[in-house]
Amino acid sequence: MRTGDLIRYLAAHRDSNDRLMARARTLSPEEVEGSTDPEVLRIRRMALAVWGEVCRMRGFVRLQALGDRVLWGRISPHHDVGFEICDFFARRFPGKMIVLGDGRRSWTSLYSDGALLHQEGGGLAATLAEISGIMDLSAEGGEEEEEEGRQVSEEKGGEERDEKEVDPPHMGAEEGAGTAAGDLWTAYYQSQDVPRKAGGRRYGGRISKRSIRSAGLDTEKGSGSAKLQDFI
Amino acid sequence: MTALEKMARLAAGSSFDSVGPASGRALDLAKVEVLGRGTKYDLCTSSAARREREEGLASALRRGLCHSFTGSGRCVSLFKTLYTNACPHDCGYCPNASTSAKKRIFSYSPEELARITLDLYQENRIEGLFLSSGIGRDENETMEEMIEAVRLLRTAHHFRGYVHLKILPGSSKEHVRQAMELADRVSVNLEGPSAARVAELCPSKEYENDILARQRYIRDLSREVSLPAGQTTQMVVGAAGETDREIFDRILFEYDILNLKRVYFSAFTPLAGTAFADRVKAPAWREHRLYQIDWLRRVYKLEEGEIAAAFDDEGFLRNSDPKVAIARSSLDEPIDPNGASFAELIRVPGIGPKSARRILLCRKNGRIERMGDLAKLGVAARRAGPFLQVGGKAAATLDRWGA
Repeated sequence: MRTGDLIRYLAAHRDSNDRLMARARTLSPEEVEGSTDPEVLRIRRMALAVWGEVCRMRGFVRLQALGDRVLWGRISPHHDVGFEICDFFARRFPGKMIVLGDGRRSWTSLYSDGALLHQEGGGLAATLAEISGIMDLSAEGGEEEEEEGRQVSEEKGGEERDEKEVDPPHMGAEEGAGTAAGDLWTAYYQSQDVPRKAGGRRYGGRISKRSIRSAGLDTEKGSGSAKLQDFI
Repeated sequence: MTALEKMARLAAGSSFDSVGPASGRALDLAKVEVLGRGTKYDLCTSSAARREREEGLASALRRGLCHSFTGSGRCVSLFKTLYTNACPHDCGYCPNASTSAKKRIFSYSPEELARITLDLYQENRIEGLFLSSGIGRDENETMEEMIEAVRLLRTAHHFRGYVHLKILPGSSKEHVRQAMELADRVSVNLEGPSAARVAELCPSKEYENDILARQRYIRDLSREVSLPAGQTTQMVVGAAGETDREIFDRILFEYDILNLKRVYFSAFTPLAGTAFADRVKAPAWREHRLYQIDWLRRVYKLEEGEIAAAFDDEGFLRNSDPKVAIARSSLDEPIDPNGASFAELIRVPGIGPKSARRILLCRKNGRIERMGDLAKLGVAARRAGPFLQVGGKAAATLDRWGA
């Protein structure tokens, strides 16, 4: 990992502090790679944890359109990586506003004419409502998420949420269920699934439960097996 | 005016919208399902290679981005589909073969396929497109339509996501060129390690002319046309009685002579309705061991002669780590990580290129005196232990007790 990336990812870690940052600035890439010093190992682990979350969020966030010019999705990152992810999608979809967030925070980015603009705001629903008002659109998403976010926050007494609650439980397919794109995805996903493939367990064992959970999609979770809810 | 307001007005005034609104049209989901199922056994990875362009829909900046996992643990990162499932070939293992049980025939149109890809891409469900196909009425006609679909994505929609395009056996050189100009990666399915094996798998295909000649086209054209993720191929393992040694020899040819980036393996699974429905299923571990051998050759750069130690007398791999078999035959004495070269270190099971590099870096600051230090550098200490001498001590092994 390059020093610049290391410092950027370390700075985004929720347990990062000035002492670790100062130490990280003195490290060469070779030292980071080859050291057995416990503090350097900790710095490396922390940077990799943030990098992993960025990678996971980029893969698992599902975007929905609000009008022609806005794409929004739900993320609830453990570390301070909201802009990292939001900017990534802004660059991917130039000219479209990307709004990501949860019930408490949101990040908005726009890449237009070679310039990247971004803004941090309150809850996702509030941000979407504000954008809808400006653009004269009808906001449809986010309210439920905002409410959920509030509830979780209240239950935890406003404290940092633990690992279990980091990944929204519904990041992906539920919002698409019944829509053309949601049905399309379900049909395609099931065509690729090989539930009885030998060796699947071995491969599956390498994928963290957290990653599977953060996909959170009913389609993926079901994978051909009936659940109790299916009979109710 | 708030920053959000400025951004909203800028976005509303932007004239660039390559994705456009989602289609919202009713799709034939049976078609999506059937044509998607047709690529279930096609393999692909490395969706990060992208063509550098200044504008348009940028692709992922990171490689190996997975968007979801199936129940069997497969990563889904691309929209993998057939263009059509009509095919005159008679491949015994393929459910789309002309000899397979009757099936409904579906085909996309270029516009339809482009729209579906964009719809899924906009929702961030996929990272790109993997497009394969049956031959249809004619390989060149179908290839032309596949190319047209990708051309629509690339030019009309400025799509810069990853595209892996299959070259149909027998396609013209001009179609191969056009495919290479548009795709990040192209591949021709090899299916078997030799002409005789392919004749058994698929009597209607000419190994030399339909497959190898197309691979040579790609190799030759890649001197003129940039192909960011290179050429790959895929083999069915265990359907025609081929040995692992035959497959390995073919791998060497593909890498050394045809400059392929990757060879993929798919363990044969007999499917109902196909000509090979009654044949014995190949064990999944065979596919896994072949990938390990491939890795040892491609990444570890082990010599052909060294790798030969992993095969038994009949030319098959055992269901155990081939690197351990190779190490047992080639490493006579335990290696001291404080003095070993990179090449020596990566031959030790449990030490890969990354941890070998870390050991070399760590040695600059001091000696490695404990196995614990190696574990901190990413070495799988339990596997590496019998082959290492750390702090002047070598781990006890059954061989040494016997000596």
